[in-house]
Amino acid sequence: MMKKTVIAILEYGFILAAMILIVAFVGLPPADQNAKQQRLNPSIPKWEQGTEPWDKDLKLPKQSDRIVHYTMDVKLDTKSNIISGWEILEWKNTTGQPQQEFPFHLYHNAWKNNRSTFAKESGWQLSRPDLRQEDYGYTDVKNVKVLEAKGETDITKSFRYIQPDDGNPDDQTVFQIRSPKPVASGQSVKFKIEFETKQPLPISRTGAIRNYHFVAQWFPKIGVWWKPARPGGSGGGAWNCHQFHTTTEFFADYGVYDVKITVPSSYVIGATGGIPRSIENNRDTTTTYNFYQEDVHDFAWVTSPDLVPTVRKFVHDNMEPDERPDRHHPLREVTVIVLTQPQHDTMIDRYFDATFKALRYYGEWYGQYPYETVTVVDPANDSRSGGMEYPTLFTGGTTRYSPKEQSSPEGVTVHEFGHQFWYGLVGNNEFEEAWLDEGFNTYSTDRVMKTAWKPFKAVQYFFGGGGAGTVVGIPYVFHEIDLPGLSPGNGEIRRMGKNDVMARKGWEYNQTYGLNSYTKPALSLIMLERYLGEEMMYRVMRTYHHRYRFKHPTSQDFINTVNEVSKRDMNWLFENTWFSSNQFDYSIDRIENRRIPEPAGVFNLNGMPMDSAMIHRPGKEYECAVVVKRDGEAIAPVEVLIEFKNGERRREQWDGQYRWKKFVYQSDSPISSAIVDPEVKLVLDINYNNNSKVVREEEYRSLAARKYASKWTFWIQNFFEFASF
Amino acid sequence: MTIISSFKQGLRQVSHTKRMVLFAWFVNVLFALVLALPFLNTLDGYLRGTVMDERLLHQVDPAWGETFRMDFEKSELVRGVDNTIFGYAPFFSHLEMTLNGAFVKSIGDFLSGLIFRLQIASGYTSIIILLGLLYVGATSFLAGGFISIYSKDHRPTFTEFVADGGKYFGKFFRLALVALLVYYLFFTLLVDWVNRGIPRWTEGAPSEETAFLYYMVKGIVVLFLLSVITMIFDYARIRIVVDVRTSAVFAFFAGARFALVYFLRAYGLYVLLCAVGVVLIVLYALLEAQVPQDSYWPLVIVFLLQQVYMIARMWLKAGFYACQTHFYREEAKSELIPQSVPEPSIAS
Repeated sequence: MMKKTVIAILEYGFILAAMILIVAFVGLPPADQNAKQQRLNPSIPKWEQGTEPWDKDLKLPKQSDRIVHYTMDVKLDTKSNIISGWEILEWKNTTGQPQQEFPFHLYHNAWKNNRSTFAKESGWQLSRPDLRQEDYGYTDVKNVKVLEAKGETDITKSFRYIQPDDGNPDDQTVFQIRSPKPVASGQSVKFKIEFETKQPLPISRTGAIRNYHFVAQWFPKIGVWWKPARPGGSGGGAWNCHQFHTTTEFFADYGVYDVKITVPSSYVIGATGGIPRSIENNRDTTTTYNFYQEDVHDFAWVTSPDLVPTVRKFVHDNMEPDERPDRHHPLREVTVIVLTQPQHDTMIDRYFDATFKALRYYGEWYGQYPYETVTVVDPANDSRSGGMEYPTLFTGGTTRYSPKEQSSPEGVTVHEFGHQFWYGLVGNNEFEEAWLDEGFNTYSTDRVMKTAWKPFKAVQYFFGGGGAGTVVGIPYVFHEIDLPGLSPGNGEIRRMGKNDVMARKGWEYNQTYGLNSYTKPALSLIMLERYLGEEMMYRVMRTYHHRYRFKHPTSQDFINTVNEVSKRDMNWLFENTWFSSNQFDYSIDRIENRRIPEPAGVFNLNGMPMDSAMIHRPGKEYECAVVVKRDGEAIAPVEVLIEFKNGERRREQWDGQYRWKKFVYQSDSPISSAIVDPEVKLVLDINYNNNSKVVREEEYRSLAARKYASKWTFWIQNFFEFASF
Repeated sequence: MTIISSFKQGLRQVSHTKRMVLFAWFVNVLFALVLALPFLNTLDGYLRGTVMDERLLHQVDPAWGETFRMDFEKSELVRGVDNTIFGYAPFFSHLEMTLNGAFVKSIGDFLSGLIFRLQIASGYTSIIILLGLLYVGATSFLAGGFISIYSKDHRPTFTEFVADGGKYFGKFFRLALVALLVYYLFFTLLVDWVNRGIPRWTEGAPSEETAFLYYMVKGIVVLFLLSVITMIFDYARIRIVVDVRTSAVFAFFAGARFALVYFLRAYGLYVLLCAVGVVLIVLYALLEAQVPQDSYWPLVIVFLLQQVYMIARMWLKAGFYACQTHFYREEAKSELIPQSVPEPSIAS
């Protein structure tokens, strides 16, 4: 009998526990929800027929100033990985003053030893363990001559390495030579340089691995005379020729490249210029390709017998159904060459699709892509050449196992193509203002991804790990999780944003190069777009690109363009983002709803007691208040949306200057919710969970909390079962 | 004795022990609640007063998730939550953790630090790990109860189940410590070595397919070896009960001997039971995906589905004990445990 009772009690206990469990997690059905979901992003405004196009005077330059003209003839020895040959550089003096000393980059010397500035900044090593002697790389200048009509003059003796950034005597990434006599303004000088470049085992972006050769930053490249008082004018300016740092990229003048490359005949080759002007088969089973490209500031190439070439044409002359008539611009036909690894045959269509979409949207928004070809290189495993841009050629990167829900190779393809515009056509100084290409391009990439595709999903790889220079495993697609792209609440900005002001030279950051070159500037542009409106931002960006194509703009050039086109003073935005390390954080501190009581106490009028019927009554039942706070140090004007229980809404403006602002109302209905920055213009706000407050009943329980907590409970239950042995 | 007959007999026995299976589920839920309720309170307090509450019901927001984790970066419970709570990802995540020995290594590293270096390494004092260790103790108790009742010829009572669980707890917990040691050595000496080696061995491979193949082969081999070791420990427990053994270490060797002598059929039975587990996972995954989880009643349905799955899992665990005990009793040549006079059966 006793046992029966015990068992019965236990059974009831189980049932009760189950009920408690359900109520604890799922709870009772909720009452009415008080707050309404706010619309987040303003949509692209509808176009209305105007009188004249706003951009009728906006013209793209036909060509660059062509300050440099490189003619090269080189041969690759695939056994020793040495590229040897010569270059003739014709340099036009547009500085407005005579020049006699000329600095050049020798980027490959960053990988010559572990004493270079690049190596020192990487911790006295070159990011590959156990490098053998033959794994290092270099560029060796054999001799330098000046070519004149009457002959040539050997100036090799004037050759010396310089270290303008850090004085590191072991760094040989910049050299200087001196011409026999000054080159007058408006005149040109021709240098002939014989050199040899030894390709390293890939350390950063370039090198040779197995039979794959990616060749970038491989020739002596002259620096840039920059920031004259007036473009082409006299006075002001200096040579800008930085050493190669771990976190910097490149800067060079626009010109013409006429390059002959000799490689084994069995090798497939891709290069700036795309389709070779001539192909010559030599008797020694090599082939010489002549590539030619005008109006670019660099030349890169790739060769391997394993590359699989596929060629298609991009055409966009007719208007698409989703295009606005005023934004339709016929774009030139472009030959797209995709060079893939043999195991990535399933990715060829995805590469083309992404490149075509990028060609279309970048062209429509900023200005048409002017070159005849673009080459997309699918890099070899462990070549470290993926995700990088060069004029008319860029590298992607993917794995065979990337599901269609994952943005690989789409994301990297759009981004690296986009660099044709930001860095390629608008040639900012990547050493000193990296955000002008990386940040602008990250912003543009985000726009293309959100316009051209449905949201990609989060993907995680299981049962694998690192190998063959990448990460492999079985992909699991989280269909519930859309990847948001650039969005507010960025954790990196919150964690690291205070380390540095965004606008710094590329080698001067405290571990925030990526954040301040890519993420923060991109988010600041989204913020700018939301404050100006999409239409105005389109005009700003299109004007900026048209105006500075084939030029070297600065941050101030862009800011001036913004203010000019928008006819607003937006300096405050840049002062609080680009030129500051302050963080944005606005919050709703509290909502107060108080019933206004009946008058009580002693009231006098002119010394005489007052009848209570004479006491002023406001006629409203509640006095309500919302207190908005500025928790961060960065300042921006913000809106506050206040909703009352009776459905009434108020939208208030606050300049965001002081630490807090209180909005007080007398109303028949209490306030139900308040949101600061309801349109999410402040995408740099580091905590947007505190941007809203909702007045709830005491017994209210969050259904979303129960949803996620129950999932985690299930996870934990299973974990215990898997773990028990 | 065929695999199928052991399978059928075992499951028949399980059907007579529903209360015990439910009790096992109850223990599992209790342990999970220790962690889940504080997490729920934290999340509820964070969300209930904001408009994100409504948004997050309809759409997962990874950026919001990052903000949440940063606001609670000191909370281990919050840090422990990631994307793998969604869909059927928990199974992938846990299987991967099992194949990499994450749990065992955490406990082993914690204990070895304590014993050999006299220090408590903070990285291993995770509340989840400690609770997991306690859960191992609880399942040792439950295993003793289950195997004991399945080794009897009469219909068991709940009282017998609890009493036998207590009776064998000491031996089974010692056996669990032996298992911890064996698994720890297996993972640290063999599996970790392979995991470290694969990136090196495939470094120069032109295609990621090479590395992928290495990992898949490694996964299959580890899964096989792990299942064999687990099966050995299952039979060790059975032999402790059926053969009335005292020493956990000798029971381990006895279990190994039996498992290897009858390897094909023993492993065949084991694989059959695992296949049932896979079917349960697939069923759960298919059903869960059909329910839109953005309002009250669908969330109730999903929650109930999760608990039904867990009960089914407990049923399967009991099935392992029952089927393997039945198989051993029929195949073993050793003496059976003397049966005590069965207590009068109590009408349920």
